[in-house]
Amino acid sequence: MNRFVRPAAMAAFGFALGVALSRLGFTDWTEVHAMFTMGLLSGGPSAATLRLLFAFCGAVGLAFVGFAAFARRDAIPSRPIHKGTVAGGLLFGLGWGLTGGCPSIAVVQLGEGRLAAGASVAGVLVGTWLTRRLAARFDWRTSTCD
Amino acid sequence: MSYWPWWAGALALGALPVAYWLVVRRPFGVSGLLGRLVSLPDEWAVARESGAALASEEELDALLDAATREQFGDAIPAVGGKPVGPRGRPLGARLGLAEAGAFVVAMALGGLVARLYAGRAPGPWLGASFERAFGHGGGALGVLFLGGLLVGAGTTVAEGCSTGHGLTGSARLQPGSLLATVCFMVAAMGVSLLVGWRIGS
Repeated sequence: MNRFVRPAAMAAFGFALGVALSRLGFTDWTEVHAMFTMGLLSGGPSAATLRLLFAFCGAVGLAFVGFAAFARRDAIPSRPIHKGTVAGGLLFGLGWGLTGGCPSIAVVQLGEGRLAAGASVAGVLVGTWLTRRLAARFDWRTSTCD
Repeated sequence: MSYWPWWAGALALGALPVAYWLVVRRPFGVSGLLGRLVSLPDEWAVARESGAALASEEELDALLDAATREQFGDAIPAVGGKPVGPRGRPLGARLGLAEAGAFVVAMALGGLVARLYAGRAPGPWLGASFERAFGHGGGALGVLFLGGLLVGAGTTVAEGCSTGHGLTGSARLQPGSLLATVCFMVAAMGVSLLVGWRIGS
């Protein structure tokens, strides 16, 4: 299977994620901003401001059921807490709040023709590269899941 | 133009990491895939040094893996997880550059197709509130680049992003993923409330 199936599957999954993020409004800074403020600064939480948060939480719940049903015995690597968990999470959150783009969202924004997202994507790539260099020098543990 | 309701998003984003694992046999995580592309220049350099004539892609992969380990030491976790039970599916081979690249390019293409289908060009910026907060000039691009640097640094140090930790790891109740998810949500909410306070929304 491997030679052609896996690359084709990767392309299919990437395409699906791009369509879903775009049609959900995750690529719209205004929508993501509403998700993070929960509408607290504009009349309180509402179905509109909580929509993306519900989608995200619902997705985690559904994936929980999916993994439990189909992959309970599988050798999926575990994700323990380590020295970078808190600091890295906080840095990433700051960046996501400002740019409205997690790594995938920024790429999808660019695909949609939102050319300004090119600056976010460049930042993500340079930030990853620089952090790896620093990590190698100071002996931090880093990697990302793939 | 209206966006999907929350439940449609939950279905799509929830099915994705499970289907991805069943087919690709790697934990789903986009920062890792982008990170794979970031190592491209290093890997090219290694390939050049070792000469062009390599027998197979597997040989090249092994060589690149060894070189990565030499450079980064044990910072790179070992490939392969412990089997957690009999008859469980094993972890698949590490993704190649072409596979990571196919995913990222197709993801951008998905955004383009969704946009064409929705029938309205979004313009070069990110949304009305963004322009209200940061304008639409060099300063706004600077914010995006700096924010992107934080995203790249954070996901590298935390070893995952909203897909790897937020979706995949949290759904498997992994402690590191749950903690990272809480941290990035709290930080994003904090900075968004600050920005929102400035623009009044």
